[in-house]
Amino acid sequence: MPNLTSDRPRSWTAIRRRVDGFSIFTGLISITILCLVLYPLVRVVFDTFVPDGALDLDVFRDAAGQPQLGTVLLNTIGVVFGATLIAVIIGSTFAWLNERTDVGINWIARVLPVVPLLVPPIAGTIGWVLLAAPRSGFLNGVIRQALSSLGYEIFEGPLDIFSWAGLIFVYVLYLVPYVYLTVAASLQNIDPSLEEASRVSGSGVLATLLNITLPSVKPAIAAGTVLALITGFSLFSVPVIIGGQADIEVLAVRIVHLMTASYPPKTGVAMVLSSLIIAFVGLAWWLQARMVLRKNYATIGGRGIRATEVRLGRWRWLARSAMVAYLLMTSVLPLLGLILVSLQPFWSATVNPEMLSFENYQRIFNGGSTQIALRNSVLLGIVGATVGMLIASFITVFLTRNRGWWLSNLIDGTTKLPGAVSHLVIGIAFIGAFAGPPFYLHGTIAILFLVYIVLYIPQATFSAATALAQVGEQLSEASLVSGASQTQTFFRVTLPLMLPGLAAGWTMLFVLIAGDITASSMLAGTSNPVSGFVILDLWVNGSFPDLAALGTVISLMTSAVVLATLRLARTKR
Amino acid sequence: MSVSDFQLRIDHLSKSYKRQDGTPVRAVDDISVEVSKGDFLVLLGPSGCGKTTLLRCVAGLERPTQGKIFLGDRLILDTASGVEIPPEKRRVGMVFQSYALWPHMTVEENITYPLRMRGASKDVQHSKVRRVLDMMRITDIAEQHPGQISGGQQQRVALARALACGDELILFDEPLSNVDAKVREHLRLELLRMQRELGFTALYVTHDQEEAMALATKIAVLGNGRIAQLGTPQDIYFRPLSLYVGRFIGSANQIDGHLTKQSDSAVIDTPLGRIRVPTRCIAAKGSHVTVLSRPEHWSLTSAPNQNDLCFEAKVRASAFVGSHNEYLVEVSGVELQIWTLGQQLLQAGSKMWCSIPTESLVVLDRG
Repeated sequence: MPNLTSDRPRSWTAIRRRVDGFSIFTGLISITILCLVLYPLVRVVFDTFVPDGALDLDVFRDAAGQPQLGTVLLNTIGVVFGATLIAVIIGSTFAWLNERTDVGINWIARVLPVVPLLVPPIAGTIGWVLLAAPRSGFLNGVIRQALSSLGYEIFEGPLDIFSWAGLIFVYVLYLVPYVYLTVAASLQNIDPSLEEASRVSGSGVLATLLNITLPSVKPAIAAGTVLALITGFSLFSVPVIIGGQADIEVLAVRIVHLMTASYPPKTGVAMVLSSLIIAFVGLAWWLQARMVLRKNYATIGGRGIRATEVRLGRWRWLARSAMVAYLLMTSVLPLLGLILVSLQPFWSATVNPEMLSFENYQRIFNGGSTQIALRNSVLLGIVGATVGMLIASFITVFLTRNRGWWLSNLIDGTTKLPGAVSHLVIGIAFIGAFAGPPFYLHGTIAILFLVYIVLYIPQATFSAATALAQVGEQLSEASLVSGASQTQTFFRVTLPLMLPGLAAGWTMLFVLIAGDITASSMLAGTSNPVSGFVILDLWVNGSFPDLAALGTVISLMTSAVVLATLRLARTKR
Repeated sequence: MSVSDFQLRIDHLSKSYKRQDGTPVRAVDDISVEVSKGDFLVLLGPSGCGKTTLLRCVAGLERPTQGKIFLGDRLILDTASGVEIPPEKRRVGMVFQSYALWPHMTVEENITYPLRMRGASKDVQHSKVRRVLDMMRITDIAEQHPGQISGGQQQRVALARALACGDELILFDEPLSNVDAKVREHLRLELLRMQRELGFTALYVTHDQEEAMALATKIAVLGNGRIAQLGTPQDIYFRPLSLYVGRFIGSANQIDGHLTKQSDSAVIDTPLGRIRVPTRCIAAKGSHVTVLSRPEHWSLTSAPNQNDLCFEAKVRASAFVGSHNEYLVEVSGVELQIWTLGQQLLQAGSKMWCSIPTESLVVLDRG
């Protein structure tokens, strides 16, 4: 294969020198986002550590004096690292199965990365509570019935979602797709003849997997791990619902508590605790970057030939069952739990068909704040995802064209920052920066829109970067050489080729925004309600039927969007 | 010839698949071919003719729809009885188009890999790798990673890896298509020397007819999943059996006409007049045929040549390409390509006589 790497720096500096309107435009967009992310954070840091113009480090003492801080930290590390480890194993295995074997469920390959998006985390978590709560969980009801017919009588469990196992289980469900996506994309990109050469050299399926495939996708597995870690640390919906009942407090929940449970919010202590998360994630990034840098990984694709399928033989059914089981557990089962409770007048493990009705739905659609919240979430989801993906594409192109420049590195780091900072800190920072003068955005849809863009820019730029990497530099260079300007190249070659990848990112953003709970709990109020805000409210009040009805509506809506996008992507291909 | 004299026997092999829109395609259509020990068989054809698919079927990377494959006496594939030896057990070497050198291993690790996978002892691994490194003259880059060496070196490493185990059959999937012309020519000669010296059997896929001629002891010209002609390079070049083969190999002049008489020689009516060719022609009398000739078999002279077929010609264009002169001449409205030696280049517009020995003409059915 031609040694492309050595030519690269030269050609890129050559292109960088050509500054035109498009470069300036993408640069401006990138700098705007840079400011939008940094300004509130810098301001909140200043307000915390340098109040009244003098350095004040009392917050560190306050933070260290937090009750049970050690336990909270250990809990966080245990849950996030444990769940990430399991998710990396499952996600990578699924990616390999789909990309390299005859597991033969083609639709799964398309659906799996987005299936956890079908039911947003908050709805899915509540769904699992309804399924596996020790006393009234539906699954427990079914299992107890089966056991009692065998002569064993128990009155609680056997499943308990409010436990370490339960908490990690739900975390894993929502972390797997991040790993799957990165590893599967990498498997599609590596030259299949690398593995074929190994097979011809006399090594079997397993030896090839261990000696060739794994080392080749190691950078992608590392990237997926970091992504899962970031997501895991920021995940608030799962621990706030399950951890609270299970008495397993994690950092994200403690930070939320500091922000919301007292007035005025303990911003400083929350900031100090969040910097611990930033440190964890930063370390992970650094390790990953070091790993990728150390070796010369060539990822030049072959001739677009699909790799020879590994025949699984009798393992095929096991692999299929595992994947189908995962799909059921992430979407169908929790949704079933939600639907069942949403039709009941009160949550009960025994379903009485005579008592089922749509009364709960009538109540939430009765023109109250729930209905307004739903409408707001949908609108924000559509507009936010579209704007977010466009911005992310511009940023990605800007970063690719200006690789190695200090400003590029700064922008690159900044777009990843919101993923490392707890969403709540960004929420508070936004309140501090934009709610009051000179912006006066308190209680508006605009402040929600801005905070969503900032919160999900890491996911957006990640999808855009993956999409751009798959286009390859030569196709864009060929367009430039053909006489097209940077703008023309972007809109006629780069963007159309990125579209399938961007569509996936759009869907992810839509679901994340429409199902957001972390920032919404802070920035939304009665004047600008969104669904996440209302859900938390209902959870605190313990009104399960309404909660289930709202969860069902949101899940069905996001499912419809995800499946429609998938369908569109399929017909376009 | 007993069965075991064959290194490779492909028996009624077919491979069909469905396009995205559902139309079935027969990539390999009932191909049977035998390759003797030490032979260098080149599968030659345009892209999409099924040559790579056929090669990948032999390697076990593609699953044929029908047929049998023998490696020596060993049955490695039989769709009828369900025999299918996986690629790692077939014991063939293979050089890939992209070379497929594993970027995370050094050159030496790459070459050792097949030996390690087949369970050779450390000593054997070491001595064999040393030998093949030496043979390919790449000992000095043994510690490098594939990303750090040139295209020509990568090609050698790929070949070294394929040769390391000393397998009898080596498969080549367009291995020279990624290097530039100068390096390609050099590597071609090196490969040729290596194969003739070591005596392995080679199955080689290419779309480059010059490469095929240079390397092959036998060429199979493929078209639409079938073998259009199998023979020595000379057979293929001088005695093509079909217009498809004649046109695919080398440059060819075509003079269309009707077959009017057929006894021990063929008589064809053409726009240039009646041509008598002293070969048997497979076509029926009265059918449309083409008289095929190679540009280098023609000569251009200032006076007519009585012994050969001779026409008065006008030079339309001329070019000196170093090794010879190339002319485009016109004879009674038919354009012919003519290559001659000599230092004098005739100018366009010159009136000359062009002639060709009738033995050099090939008559082919136009169908």
